[in-house]
Amino acid sequence: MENTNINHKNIFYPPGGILMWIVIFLELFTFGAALIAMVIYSKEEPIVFHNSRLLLNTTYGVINTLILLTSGLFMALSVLWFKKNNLKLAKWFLLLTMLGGCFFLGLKSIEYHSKIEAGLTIGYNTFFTFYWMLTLFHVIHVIVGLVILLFIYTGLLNTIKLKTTLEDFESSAAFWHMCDLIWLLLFPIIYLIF
Amino acid sequence: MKTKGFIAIWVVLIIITLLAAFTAQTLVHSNFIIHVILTFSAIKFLLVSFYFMEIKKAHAFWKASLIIFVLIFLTTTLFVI
Repeated sequence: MENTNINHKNIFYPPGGILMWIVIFLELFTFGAALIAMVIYSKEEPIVFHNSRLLLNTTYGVINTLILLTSGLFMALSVLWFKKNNLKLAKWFLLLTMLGGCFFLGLKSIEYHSKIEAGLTIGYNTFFTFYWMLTLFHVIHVIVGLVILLFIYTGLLNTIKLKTTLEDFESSAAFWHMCDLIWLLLFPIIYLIF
Repeated sequence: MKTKGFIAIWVVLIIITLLAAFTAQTLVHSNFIIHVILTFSAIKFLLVSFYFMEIKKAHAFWKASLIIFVLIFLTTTLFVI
């Protein structure tokens, strides 16, 4: 295994790599700006935003938060065991991480289905325009994250000639955790505060 | 960080999430409650980035950048609301 020693105290080598962290900050600022725009629009239509928020199922939002946080724990444990050269446990926790992602997407699909059935589509009102745009954009990130993790997992299957480096593993983990971070910003604003 | 440390952080994250949801569902929405909910969210954000993403081990620049981002987001949101 190519398990190089990286000095993370060096400004150019944060865990996950500097390029991944540039992407993470760009994503955070994009979602952050969109969420602040949503809050600004809510001041113009407070009753519409309050009534629309009540149409969301907060339980789905809470469960999805718990799923993503648990998936994040598994990802962190997977990286930990990879660093300790225990590939069996690293793969096992990586699988659990991906399972969490699949559960998240499954529950989101159920939620989306119920909204479409009720006619609460993207053009219903300003609140639901933001709801669909922000949550769908986040779902795309989760799907991309799952594809990246799948590549990492298949790379770990050939234990004799392992090509996956610690940098690869940490970068994919950083992308997955970024999905957590974005959701932690989306969840209270969309599901709780209006 | 060891397995126990990660699990401890995860337990804290779960408790804060449930507490935020409970607060939002049961208490009357006032500016104070919104402040509490968003502060919970900021704490969770920093716990995930510092511990799960191991930014705690990184150069001070990355730690400061994340904290500044959270502060900008939190203060702007609370100012607008």
